[in-house]
Amino acid sequence: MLSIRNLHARVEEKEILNGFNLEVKPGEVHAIMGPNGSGKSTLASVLAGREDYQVTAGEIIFEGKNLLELAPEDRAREGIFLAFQYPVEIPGVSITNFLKTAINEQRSYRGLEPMEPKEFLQLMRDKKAVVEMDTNLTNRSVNEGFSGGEKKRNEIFQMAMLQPKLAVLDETDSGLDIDALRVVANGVTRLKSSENATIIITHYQRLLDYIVPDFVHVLFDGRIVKSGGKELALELEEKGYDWIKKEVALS
Amino acid sequence: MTAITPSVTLKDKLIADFELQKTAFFPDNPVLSGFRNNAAEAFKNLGFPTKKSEEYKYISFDAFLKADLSQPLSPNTTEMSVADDLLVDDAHNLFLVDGFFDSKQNTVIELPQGVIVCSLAEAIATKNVHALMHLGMHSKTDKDPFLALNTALFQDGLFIYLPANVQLEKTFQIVQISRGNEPKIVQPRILIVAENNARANFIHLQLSSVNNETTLSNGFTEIVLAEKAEINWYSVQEVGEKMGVVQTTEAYLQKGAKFETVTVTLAGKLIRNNLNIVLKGTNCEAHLHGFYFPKAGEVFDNHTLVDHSMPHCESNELYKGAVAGNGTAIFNGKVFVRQDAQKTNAYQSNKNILLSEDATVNTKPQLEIYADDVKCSHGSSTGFLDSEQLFYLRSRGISENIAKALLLDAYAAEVINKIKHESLRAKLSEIISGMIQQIK
Repeated sequence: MLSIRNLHARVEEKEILNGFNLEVKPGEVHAIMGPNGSGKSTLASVLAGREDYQVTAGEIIFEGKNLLELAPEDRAREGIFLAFQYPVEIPGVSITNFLKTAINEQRSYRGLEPMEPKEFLQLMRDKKAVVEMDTNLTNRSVNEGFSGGEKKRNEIFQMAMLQPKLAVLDETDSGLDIDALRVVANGVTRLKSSENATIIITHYQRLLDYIVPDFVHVLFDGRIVKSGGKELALELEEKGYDWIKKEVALS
Repeated sequence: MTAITPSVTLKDKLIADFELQKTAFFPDNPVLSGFRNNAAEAFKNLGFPTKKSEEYKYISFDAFLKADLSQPLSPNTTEMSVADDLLVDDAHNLFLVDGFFDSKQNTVIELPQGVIVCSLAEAIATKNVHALMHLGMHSKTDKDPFLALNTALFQDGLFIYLPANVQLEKTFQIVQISRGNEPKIVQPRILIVAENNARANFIHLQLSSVNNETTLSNGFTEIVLAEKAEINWYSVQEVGEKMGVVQTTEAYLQKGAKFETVTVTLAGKLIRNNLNIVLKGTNCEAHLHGFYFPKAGEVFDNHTLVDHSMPHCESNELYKGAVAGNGTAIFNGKVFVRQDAQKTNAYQSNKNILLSEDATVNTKPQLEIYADDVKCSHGSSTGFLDSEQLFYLRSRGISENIAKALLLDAYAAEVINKIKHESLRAKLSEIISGMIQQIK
């Protein structure tokens, strides 16, 4: 599904990703962990197509297409979803109007007619239940005045509505209390299928108690320095990142 | 192509017009002819503004001064198509054609007793005491050339009188229209007098026929609010690409009065609004909102003044603009808080979004405070659309153009939503959305 090979990326003259490789197949959950400054958020931004990031080498192939040639909206229409670490507030644009526009733009890209209003409202109801989202929240402007937890919940709600093939969760656990964490994690787990894949980018292991990854990768200095199963996350939790740094220094 | 400069300047022509008419226009009213003479004298001294005039330094009237304009002595009554998609259905309609009251098109029915709606010329001719008591009595015509010109040369207009305690449910829709194929200058004049505790809502539409010739409309509207009177005034300007508008609107508020206004400027070659609000009593409230959207070749200039001279008054001002192509927007907002105006709350905010590299904004908020126990703030910002918001929308599959339209619709809505007349609000939202989607 996703194949990232030898990716090098920089932002403002600073090299951040430095030979990053990753293969993701349908049905898989990958966790990418790493200390601050290792390049985790850069990876998410490059995947989504943020313009401040410059790819200097390497390639990203998603479902046979060269992702780097696509505009951010076309990446979304191809089935990539980024749950933002810091979702922005958009005063005056209601969540309902925003999602209706997004869904119909994606449908039009795939040659489908706009969704019937009735069907759309039903979908809203169903997906709100998945993330236990308050009905009143969707009548409000996108993220405006939302608490940290509400913003993250809204990200997963959008993911549920848009049904992407590949979801990238960028530090979705940061700033969440334990209840919100459980709701968000349950939402992600319920949306999992054999058709779609998830990349969880996180500093801490705790989200992985709820969403069990198939693979855990350790990102350091812009590339993956160690990969393993879910037990690697526990090891990192226990020992911190220093032993990885030492291992890298030795090799 | 060589520009033809008329041998006689527009200023000379208008002064000659005044000399010809002054004996004909209500000679038996010495007060009226007195202030018209003074106004004509003031216009003679001031002339049309140039780039050197501080109050008009960002705009140029050259295109109008060179166009051999004439002031018509009667309205152009030829049937011409007018962009009327803005007209609401549920209102009393009052048409001012080239500044003349058009009784044929008006649809005023079932007004409460004592309410007067008539031609201004008729009010003067019949010596209506309310009209004569207020007409031109509150304004300072000797400082501003356009105010002086309108006062010297207006032929007719609209007069509305609301007696004490009257509350009108139905909105007055004043359609100030200019039409015809001849280059001209018109002087629409409106006088609204609201007595104690009277309440009414007004829509003031400024329109033109679809392909009108070079026209300069120099309008002056006076709104007098007696104690506890409340007026909502919604002004929308959408005129042809050869038309210029100078519109001065003044509201004078007595104790406890409340004036709310929204000015939406959508189309025209050059539009200059002077909105002056004078709070003459205690406990007054004024809310001023504006949305302007100049596009390629358009210059929209809003000058506002709120004059706090008495204690315990409040004013709130929010003007927002979006500027596309090589359009130009100017905002100049003055708030005076005079020495006696203690316990004043005065807030002003101006925001601008540039939609192209060629767009121009000149903004100057001015707060002058002479009282020491007040709460006042002002702020202004100008920038491009928020790139983080755009990226967020695009990352959900929304194209860049539609993402921009969503953000701009929301941006305009903050002002448009201040309009309490539902169908006008809906029409404006639709028109503005349409304009946004046409921008490349």
